[in-house]
Amino acid sequence: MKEKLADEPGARCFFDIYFIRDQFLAFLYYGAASLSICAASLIGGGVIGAVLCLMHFSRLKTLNAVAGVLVGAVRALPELVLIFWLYSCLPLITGVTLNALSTGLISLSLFAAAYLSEIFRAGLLAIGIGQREAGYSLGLSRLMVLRLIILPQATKIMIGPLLNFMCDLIKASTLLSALSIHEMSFYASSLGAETYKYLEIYTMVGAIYFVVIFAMSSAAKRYLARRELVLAS
Amino acid sequence: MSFVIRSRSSPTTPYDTLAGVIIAGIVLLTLLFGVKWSFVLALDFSVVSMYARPLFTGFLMTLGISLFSLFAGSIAGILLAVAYRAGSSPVRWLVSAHIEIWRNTPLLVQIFWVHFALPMLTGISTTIMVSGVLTLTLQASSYLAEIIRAGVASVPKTQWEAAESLGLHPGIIWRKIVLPQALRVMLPPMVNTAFSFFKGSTVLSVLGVTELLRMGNIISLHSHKPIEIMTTVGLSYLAVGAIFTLISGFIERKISR
Repeated sequence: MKEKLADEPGARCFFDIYFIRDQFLAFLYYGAASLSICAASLIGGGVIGAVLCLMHFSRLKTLNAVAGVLVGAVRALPELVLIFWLYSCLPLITGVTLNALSTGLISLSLFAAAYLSEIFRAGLLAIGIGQREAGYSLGLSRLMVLRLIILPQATKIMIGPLLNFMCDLIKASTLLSALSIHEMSFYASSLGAETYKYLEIYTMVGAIYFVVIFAMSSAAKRYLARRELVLAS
Repeated sequence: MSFVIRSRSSPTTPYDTLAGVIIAGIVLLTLLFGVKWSFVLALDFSVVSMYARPLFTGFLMTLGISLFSLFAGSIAGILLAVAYRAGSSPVRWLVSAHIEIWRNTPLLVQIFWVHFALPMLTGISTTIMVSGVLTLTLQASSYLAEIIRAGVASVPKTQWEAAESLGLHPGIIWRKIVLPQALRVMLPPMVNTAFSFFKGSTVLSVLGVTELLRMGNIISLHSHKPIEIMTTVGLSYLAVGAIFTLISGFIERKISR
């Protein structure tokens, strides 16, 4: 960190703007770390969530039940409990030692999978049966109906809830700092313990999170409102 | 409701059976080779009864924190919604800013801001408990204000006009016409919010408030039995989740009737 001169105006001010200027790049770096954690768990959660969604639509009752119980349990558990349970119990049960980052990624992926499978399911269910039947009557196969008719329509329905969920995922990713994973809120708390400039640090961190999450949630809101307008007309 | 239509138009394929076999295979292989059965079978859940009292204290703490912050938050939320409805445009702008700020930042950052940064502004230092509950209350107020605002806005304007043209007193309009209709819209998201604040109370453990999760962490370190203790903690959260599901199902049935 840059040595501060006594005659710099920020040094005497109770809100040290020069401190923010010096630390801004570091915060952007850790913000990128946070975002990549979110992206990784979104991808992992998307894959697991797609499998859970398929299990839900399967004709085998056991698969339906398993998917239902898994999704329900993960959604009902607080994220932090999930994180700590996996952190303290998974290595003991499986005998595989995991570092904090992989435990965090696994728990966020599970969290994402439960919510994403519900989003996928709602999107697929929103497409009427008539669409499928029309596809079959044209002689398309099951996969072609899914690929050409259902998915293009379902993705449009899913975009809004997906954006909303990404906000929740970014918020949940801050909880990984409880495992000392180096993401933005962990950097904030360690820098705060070092410099005691909590006001500057947490105001800046809050502002960065706010900009990203607010942009996403208002995009989702606007998208959903426009869709409703289209559907109403 | 099922996505797969069981009709003649759906060509039957062996996909489902194949998927079932593959998933069952994966699960079986994981259970066979991924789990240390000698360890899992030796688990001794009688430890939990030894620590039942502190765990229950933690559970009561969690309940108390979430109930209190929901209660205080709903009062603040009602006031905010009323201010938004009745206030001039700067008041509306302030209320919206409050709602958006508390809804669009992570709870953890809010808690740290309130605990560490706010005392620098106000000069009053707060204990971890006070700042945790204060944060939850502020966040609850913003979520509930948004729900109440949307609920009241969902009552069509014609209802107000009809009631006014009948010459009804504003108090009666609220009590007999607006609120019964708005509550139908408001109750389901309110129950969801209540549950999410019950879940959110775990974040206070990061500050050091000894609610159920932190109590579980402490005990599992003390007793060297993390699986038994943490699983019990998780199951108690799930039990409360099940109760909330029952309540919201009950309310939805009441409303749709």
